[in-house]
Amino acid sequence: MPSQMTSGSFYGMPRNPFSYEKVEQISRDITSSWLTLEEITQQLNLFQDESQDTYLSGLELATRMAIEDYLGMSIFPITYKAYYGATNNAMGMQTAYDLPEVSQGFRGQCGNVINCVAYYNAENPPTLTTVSSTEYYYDPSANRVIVNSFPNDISTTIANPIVITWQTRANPLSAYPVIKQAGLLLLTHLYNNRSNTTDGIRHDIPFGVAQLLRPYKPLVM
Amino acid sequence: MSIARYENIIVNNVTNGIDDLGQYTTTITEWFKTRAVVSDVTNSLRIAERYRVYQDLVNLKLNYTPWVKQMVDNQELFSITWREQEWRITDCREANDRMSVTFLCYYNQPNTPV
Repeated sequence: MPSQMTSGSFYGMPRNPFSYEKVEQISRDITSSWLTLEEITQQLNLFQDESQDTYLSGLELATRMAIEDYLGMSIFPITYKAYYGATNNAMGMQTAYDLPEVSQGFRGQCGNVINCVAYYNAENPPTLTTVSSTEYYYDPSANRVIVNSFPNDISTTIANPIVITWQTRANPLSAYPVIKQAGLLLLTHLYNNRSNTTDGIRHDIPFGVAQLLRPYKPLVM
Repeated sequence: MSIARYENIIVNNVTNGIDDLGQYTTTITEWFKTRAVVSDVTNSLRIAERYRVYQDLVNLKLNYTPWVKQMVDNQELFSITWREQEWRITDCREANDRMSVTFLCYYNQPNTPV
């Protein structure tokens, strides 16, 4: 590793173990179905009763999003944007930027695709300026972007002037039978319980949703 | 908890009409296949003067869906095929939480001489 490489601003920010200051989801698939209506109607014993297909499709989307959020990992691609502070050594130096969200690598492809690396320049008002794709590359071993160098006109008035946009890849987990079964269990629960309250006490079954998904939850170190 | 006794059933449309000769006709056409929880299967025998009359009864519990609500509202317009016999609906009971409907269905076997 080059001796001049730094890891952004996180050495002075112990509350955030990564180098980003802010992250947001900017695009998420809320229309494509993951579990098929055939699988759902078999699970619910509705079989060919198609009169609730629209309602079931909505439940299916909620189920998939809940599982993605529980795992902390996308099943379908999600686009994120993260903001980073500019350190003195960002200009003209090789710098690493952690990406807090990642999908699972599959068939030689890494889990993330970098869409754009940009920075706010020193104009007044600052303008978001895209960095050439030849100036950076993705490091799948540590899930971060290595930027060779930024120009020396990074804004000093924008709090976090470096912006990276990336998309998680479609996750092979989506085809795992155990993940799909967890989805069907959760969907059955949502189908059968349409209120936030119940009269009696409910108990989780052994090997329920949480236990089926637990081994696939990525460890955050 | 044991496995619930779900069995495949077919819901049929029943259409009554009158043919060219003035005879009443009943047309049965399949509407959709689904599954029901089968319970309380009973076979009763009533001996009349000349015939033995067998009447089978069964409870079929279905999920409450828009199509099942149509069956509740117009129970005379539907029949249910189960165990390769055609069953007619005599009673419908909606669950109070509107999550299921239980149909009491009957099937008359042909009269048999005593």
